[in-house]
Amino acid sequence: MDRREFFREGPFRALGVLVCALAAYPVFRFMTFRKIRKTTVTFPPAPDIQSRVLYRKGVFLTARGPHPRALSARCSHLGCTVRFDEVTQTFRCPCHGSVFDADGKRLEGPARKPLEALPVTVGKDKEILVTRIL
Amino acid sequence: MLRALSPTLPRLGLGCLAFCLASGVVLAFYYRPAGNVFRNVEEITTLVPYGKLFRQLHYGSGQAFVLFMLAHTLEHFFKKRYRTYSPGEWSRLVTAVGLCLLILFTGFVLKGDKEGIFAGRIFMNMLRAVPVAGEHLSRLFVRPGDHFFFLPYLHHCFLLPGVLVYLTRSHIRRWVPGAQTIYLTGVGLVLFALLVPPRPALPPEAPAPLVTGPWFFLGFQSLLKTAPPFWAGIMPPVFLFAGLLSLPFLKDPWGRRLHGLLIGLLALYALLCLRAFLAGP
Repeated sequence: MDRREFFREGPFRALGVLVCALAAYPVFRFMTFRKIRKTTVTFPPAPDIQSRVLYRKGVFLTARGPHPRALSARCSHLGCTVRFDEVTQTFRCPCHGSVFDADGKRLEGPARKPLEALPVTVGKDKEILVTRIL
Repeated sequence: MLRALSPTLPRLGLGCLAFCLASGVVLAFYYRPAGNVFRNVEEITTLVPYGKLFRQLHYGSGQAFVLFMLAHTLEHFFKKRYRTYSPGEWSRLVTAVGLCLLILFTGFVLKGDKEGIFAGRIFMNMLRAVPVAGEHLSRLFVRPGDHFFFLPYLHHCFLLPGVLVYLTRSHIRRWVPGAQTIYLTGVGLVLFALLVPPRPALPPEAPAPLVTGPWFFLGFQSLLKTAPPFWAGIMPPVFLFAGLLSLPFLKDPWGRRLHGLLIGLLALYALLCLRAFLAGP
């Protein structure tokens, strides 16, 4: 392409790229939109769980101390579901080997953050309700 | 003998692709990417008449096609044929290999078992590690929640095979397999489907001390244990594919150096996968 041709064709080509980009943006935003959806996981009332660690639908409930604590079962590294090891009282990720203590604090492995703590509320029949984002 | 293999590999590969597409169409009549996908796949394997045969036929033909494709690409790479063909033809081949691996990966996710779900989540979170656009990029492939399998299904069944067939259209025309090749491939694949049972699948809620990804992902799984997701899971494949794509544009000595570097990296990754396959990631 010589200089004359460049100046003659260039603005039209640039306009074409701009139009494509303008058209692609709403398509991209539509395709990548995510509605935040929450789910509530119900556990039995606190006296029934005592010092056990319960698991339901991606949530661990621990009843250490006076108040029950809920932790997300998603590993903070890349999202695999961790499992609770009763012997060592630790959460272990089966994918990349991250280890967390019973309070969700990171002990070893590639994860850098602790397990996510989830809000806990008590229902009218004293059942424990934990809300998590899907 | 190697010269005789050169035209045979694409024909066998395309024969496998034909069986893979046909068995995929059959499976699509029962497979549903919503609800309890694991149970759906188990029903296909154990309840639906000839379900196990079609599932293994689909699995075997898909794996064989990708292996033939990799062998074909490596042959071109080692013989430096990217210098004689047009850059467009080479980039179509490299892109097709990437798409093939992505199709295998989405198929692995669609099994709906623990391994599949974890692979999908890892891929989603790896993409999130991409600076600036990561969050949006991840939503193009996998989304958490009830419709977790929908996007991988869409990509596995429609978008990726469509683009793959479009990219390989000239090959399909040139190397269309004859009746003899189709017959030979069919016999081999049906024997595989009848004799090799599917791998035992872990239910999504089953406890497991170790979960592994697909064979070509094992190297990344090992890397992800030590390095951050962006450097272990995003940059190596991006560098590898960018390097392969840029080969026709580089003149010696830079072309020769990059060729050597890519051989080293590919060999290293193959060793990493082999080690993870034998001793765990």
